[in-house]
Amino acid sequence: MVGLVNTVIIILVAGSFLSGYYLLGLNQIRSKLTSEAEEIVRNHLVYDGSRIVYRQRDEGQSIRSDLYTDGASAVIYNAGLEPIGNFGLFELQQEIFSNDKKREYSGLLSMVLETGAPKFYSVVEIEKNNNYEMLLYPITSGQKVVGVVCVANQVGFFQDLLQISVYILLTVIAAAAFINFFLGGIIAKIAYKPLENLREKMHQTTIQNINEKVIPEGHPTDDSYLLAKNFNEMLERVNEGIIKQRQFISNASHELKSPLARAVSRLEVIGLRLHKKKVVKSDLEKDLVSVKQDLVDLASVIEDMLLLSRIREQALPQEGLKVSSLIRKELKKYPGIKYTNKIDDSVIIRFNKESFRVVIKNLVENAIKYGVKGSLEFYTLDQSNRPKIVISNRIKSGLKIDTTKLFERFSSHSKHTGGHGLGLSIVKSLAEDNGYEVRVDVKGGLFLISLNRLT
Amino acid sequence: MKILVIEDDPVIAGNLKILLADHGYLVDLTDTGSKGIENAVVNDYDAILLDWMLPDMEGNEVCKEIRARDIKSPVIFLTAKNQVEDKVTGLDVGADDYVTKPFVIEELLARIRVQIRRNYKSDLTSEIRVGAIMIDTAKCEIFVNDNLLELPPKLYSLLEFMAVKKDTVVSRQDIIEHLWDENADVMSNVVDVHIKNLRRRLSSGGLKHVIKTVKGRGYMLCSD
Repeated sequence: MVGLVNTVIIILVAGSFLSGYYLLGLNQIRSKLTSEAEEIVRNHLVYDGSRIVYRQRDEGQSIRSDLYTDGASAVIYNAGLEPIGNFGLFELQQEIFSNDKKREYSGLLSMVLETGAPKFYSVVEIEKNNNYEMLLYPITSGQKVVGVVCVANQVGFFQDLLQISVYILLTVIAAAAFINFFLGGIIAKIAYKPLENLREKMHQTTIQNINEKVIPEGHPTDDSYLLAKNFNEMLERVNEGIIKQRQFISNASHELKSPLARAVSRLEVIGLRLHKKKVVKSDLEKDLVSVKQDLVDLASVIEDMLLLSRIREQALPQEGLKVSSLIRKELKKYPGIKYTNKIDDSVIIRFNKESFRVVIKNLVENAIKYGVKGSLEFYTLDQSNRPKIVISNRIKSGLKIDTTKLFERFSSHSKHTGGHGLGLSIVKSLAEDNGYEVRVDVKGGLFLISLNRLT
Repeated sequence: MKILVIEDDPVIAGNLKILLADHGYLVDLTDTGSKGIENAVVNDYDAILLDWMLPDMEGNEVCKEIRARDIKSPVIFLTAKNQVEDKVTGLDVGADDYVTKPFVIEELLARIRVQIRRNYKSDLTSEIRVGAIMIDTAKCEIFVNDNLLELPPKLYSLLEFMAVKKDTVVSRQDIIEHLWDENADVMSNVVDVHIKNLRRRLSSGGLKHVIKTVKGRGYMLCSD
C-alpha cells in the first residue's frame, strides 16, 4: 500500500516536472519566433503603397541571411494571401501541409489578415517525425494589414530532449515503483514492526498477563515509542484498579467472615453443651443473642458494601438542602444522644439528599464511637461563601486515633474500634461525588470531622 | 497439651477455649501480638493458634518474631484472610499450617493433632500405640488390650502427653508446663499424685509397671 502511494507520488512529481519543462521550452521558442517576425517586418519588408518590397538591413544582411543565421524559416504573404517569398524550409518544400492542415492554416492566415493579431500555430506536422512551431505575424502599414509573415522554427531538438527525458523518467518511475513495491514494503514492514508488536500485545493482553509490558522500540520521540509507553502506563493503571478491586474483595470477604466465624464457633459451643447435656437456659439465650448480633453485623457489612457499589454506578442528582433541619431529622434516630446544633436554618448546601443522609449518619456514628457522651456539636465555618460543616466531639480518654487510617476500607484500626471500616470510606466517596472533601482532625482533645466544599 | 491462642476477637477466643478444653487441651488466651510472643517465650506450647489482624502487629510479624526467638512450637494461622498470597506469606514466615475462618472445629482439632504428632515425632495417625495401650486422639478414647478404659480428662491428657513422648523420660516440670496452667504450683506434688492415679487405673486394666519412675529425672511410659 505504502509502495503504491509512493509510486503515485513519484509519477505526479515527474509529470509536473515534464509539463513545466515543456511549457518553459515552448514559451522560449515562441518568444524567439515573435522577435524573429518583428525583426523581419521591421528590417526587411517595406510597403510602398501598393505592394510589399524587400530591403536589406542597415548592416547589409538580407532576409535570407538573417533567417539562416537564426535557423528559422519564413513565408511572406501579400494582402491577397499569395506567397511572395519562401525562405528556408518553405523554399525547399512547397507542399508542406496535408489537405486538412492546409485549410486550418489558410483560415488562420485570413484571421491574422483580418484582425491584425498574431497567431501561433503549434507543432504543425510538415514532414513525418519533424515538428515545427509557427507564428503568423501581420505586416502593417499604418493601421492597415497589408500582408502576413509566417515564421517557423523546428522544435525537433526540443522534442527529442523532451522524449529522452520522458524515457529517463519512465525508467526512473519503473525502477522507483519496483523499489517501492518490494523494498518499500520491506522498509514499511520494518518501520511498522513496533506498531505490529503493540497490536499483537494488545490482542494477547489478559488479566493474567497484565503485568507483562511492551518494550518500547525506536527513538524516545517516535510515535510508536510513545504509543508503547502510553500503553504500558495504561496497563499499569488498569492493573492498579484490579489490585484495588482484589484487595477490596479480599478485605470484604474478611469482614464477612469475622462475624460468620463468631457465629459458627458459638453454634459449635451450643452444640457441645447440648451434646454434654450441660445447657443452662440463660447461657443459651446469651449465646443466641450473640449469634443474632453476629448475623446483624454481617447484614450491615453487606448493606454498606452494596451502598458503596451503588455510589459508583449511579449519577446522584444534587439539590439545595437545609443542613440544620436534616441533621435534626437524622439525629432523631439516636434518641439517647445529646448534641448541640449551632448551624443556622438558612445554611443551604447542594448535595444529593440520600447521600447527605448517609454521610450524616456515618459521621454521627463515628463521632459517637470516638467521643464523650453529650459533647457532640455541629457548627459551620463560612469560608468565602463556601460553608464548612464541622462535627466536633470530645475524644474518650485513653483512646488513640490514627487519623491517617480512618478512611482505609476494612483497616485493622476500624476493627478495634468496633466498626468494620466501610463507613468513613463511604462518606469520603459520597462527599467527593458531591464536590466535597472530608477532613478528620484531632485537636486539643477534640475529634473534628469537617465537610469542605472543594470549588 | 497446652495451646496458646493469639486472637483479639473475644467471642472467637472464648469459644475456642471452650471447644479446645473439651478435647483435653489447656488453653492460654492473649489478644495482642506482643503478649502472644511474651507467652510463647515463657511457656513451651504444644501448638500456637495465631490470628492475622491483631491490634498491635500483624500475625506474620508475630510468627516471624516467634521463630526468630527459636521457639519450635507449631504455629497454625487461624484467620479470615484466604488469599493464596496470604497463605504463602504465612507459611513462609514459619507457620506450620493455615486454617481460614469460619472454621469447623473438627478440622481445626485434626490439624492441631497433626502438628503435635509431628512436633513429638510421634505416630503418623491419630492413633498412638504404646505396647498394649492404644489412644485414639481424635475421639479422646483409650483402649487397653482392646478394652475401653475410661479416664478423667486430666488423666487422659497426662497419658496422651506421655504416649507422644513414649520411651523417653518426661520431667515433672515438662508435665506441669504442658498440662497445667500458669497458676499451678510447680513445687507441689500434683504430678506425682496424678501419676499414681494413672498407674492405679492402668493396673485395673491389667497393665502394671508401664510407667517407670526415673529417679531424679521424671517418668517414662514404656512400650515393652
